[in-house]
Order: sequence, then C-alpha cells, then structure tokens
Amino acid sequence: MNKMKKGNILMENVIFIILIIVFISILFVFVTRQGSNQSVLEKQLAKQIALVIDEAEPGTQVQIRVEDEFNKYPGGKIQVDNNVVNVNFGSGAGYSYGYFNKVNVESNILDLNSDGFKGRYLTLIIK
Amino acid sequence: MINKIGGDRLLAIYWFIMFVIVIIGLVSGVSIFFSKPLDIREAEGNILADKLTNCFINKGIYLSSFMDRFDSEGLEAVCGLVLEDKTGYYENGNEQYYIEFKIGDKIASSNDAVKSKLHGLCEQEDLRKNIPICVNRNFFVLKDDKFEKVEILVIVDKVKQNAL
Repeated sequence: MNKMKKGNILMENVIFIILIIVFISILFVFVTRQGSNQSVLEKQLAKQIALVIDEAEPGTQVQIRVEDEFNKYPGGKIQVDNNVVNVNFGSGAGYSYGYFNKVNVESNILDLNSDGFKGRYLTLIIK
Repeated sequence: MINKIGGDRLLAIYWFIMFVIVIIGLVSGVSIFFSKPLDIREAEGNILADKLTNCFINKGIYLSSFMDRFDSEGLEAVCGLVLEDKTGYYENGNEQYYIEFKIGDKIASSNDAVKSKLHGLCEQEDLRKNIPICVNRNFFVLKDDKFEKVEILVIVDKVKQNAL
C-alpha cells in the first residue's frame, strides 16, 4: 500500500517535471524563431547594409558575414542598386531600405576562406 | 496523510498556474519586442550630419566657396547625397530628409517645401512616437580668422519603416 502511494507521488513528480521541460523547450524554440524569422532578418540586414553604405567613403571595401542567414534561406538575394538595398529571403518582394550616400556599390555574395574571413560574406565595393 | 497528498496536489496546480502566467508574460514580451521595427533614424541623422560637416569644413576651417556652391548647385550635388527615398514605401520620397545649415546670419536648407511639415515636430521629440527624428549639431569653425557658430539640423522622417 505504502509502496503504491510512493510510486504515485514519484509518477506525479516525473510527469510534472516532463511538463516543465516541454514548456521550457517550446518557449526556447519560440524565442529563437522570433529572433531569426524571415521578416526580422530581412529588415535587420537591409538596414545594417544601408547604414554601412551611408557611412562608407568611396574606395572602401566592406565584408558582412551572412553565413547564418544564407544557411537558413539558401535562395536568398541581396541587391544594392539605385540607392536602395533589397534583401529577399523568401518568394515575395523582400524588404527594401534606402541610403543617401551618392556612391556606386558593387555587391557580391562570396565564400571566403582567408585569414580572418571564413564562411559566406556579402562583399560591398564602394566606388 | 490524505490532507498531505491533497495539499501537494493543490501546490502542484498552483505551481503550474504560476508557470503558465510566467510563460504568457515571456511570450507576449518577446512578441512585442520583435514586432517593433528597428529604428535606425538617429544613426542615419548622425551620419548625415557628419557628411555635411565634412562637406564644408577642411581641418577645422570653413570652405568659403561652400555657400555659393550650395546656392548654385544644391546640397545634394555639393555633398554627394541623394535625399530621395526610392524604396516605394513613401508617396513623397523626396520629403523624407530635411537639412538646415546656419553659419553667422546665413541659412541654407535642403528642401524648403518640407520645412513647414517637419520643422515643428522637433519640439515634440520627447514624445518619440510616430514622428521624425531630429539631430542637432552646434559648433564653431574658423572663418576668415574668426570663430563663427555653425548650427546644423538634420531631420529624418521615414516613420513607416522605423516607428510603426
């Protein structure tokens, strides 16, 4: 009788702990996904690139690491043209943000493997 | 004994309810945080003010040809700027930036049409809600061997992409 009661209490505690672990896991997945969902990443990267171009002087070359973004969305596109940065990680039009620096920008996505640069980078050549 | 088991169950339910409340709080907090757009207008305004400063000052000395070139060619041509938003988010793309430059008694501005629309909003900036961001710069430069006060005002609108 006593053993059965003890077993019940143990079972309840185990279920309770499992429930807590499940809840915490769901919460962790939710927070991680919220921070790296397509729309947030597009906006974040487009604004970051626009600010970099605004600040840059002609003759500058900038490398921005985009390894994680392109691993998550392999078909992604980044276009810099006519004072607009467009980042598109999905099938829609993506997200565009304007920059005010009057420069010509050449942009390429390159896999680099040199000193200090390993992985996929967005290379901006400001002319 | 029965009371003890009942008490334990009640405590577990209470614990569970507390846990659910904490989760609801965290989920709503995270959702609210990520649903707000990243506001980069202050950074944009500061970069624009730096660009303008570098445009008319060379090693702390005012370039005397600046005002004449400003009047004849316009600010965008002189300082290498494109003050028009071409993203298509705004109907009035050329009204997203406003620059005002004052040295001595001379005042020059990038777009007079925008002045009345944006200028008055700088006083309400403490509200910081759905209004443009204003960046002010005040400093002295050497002009004809005398120190002259320079005032720069940069206003960045772009509310739709940064505040809504």
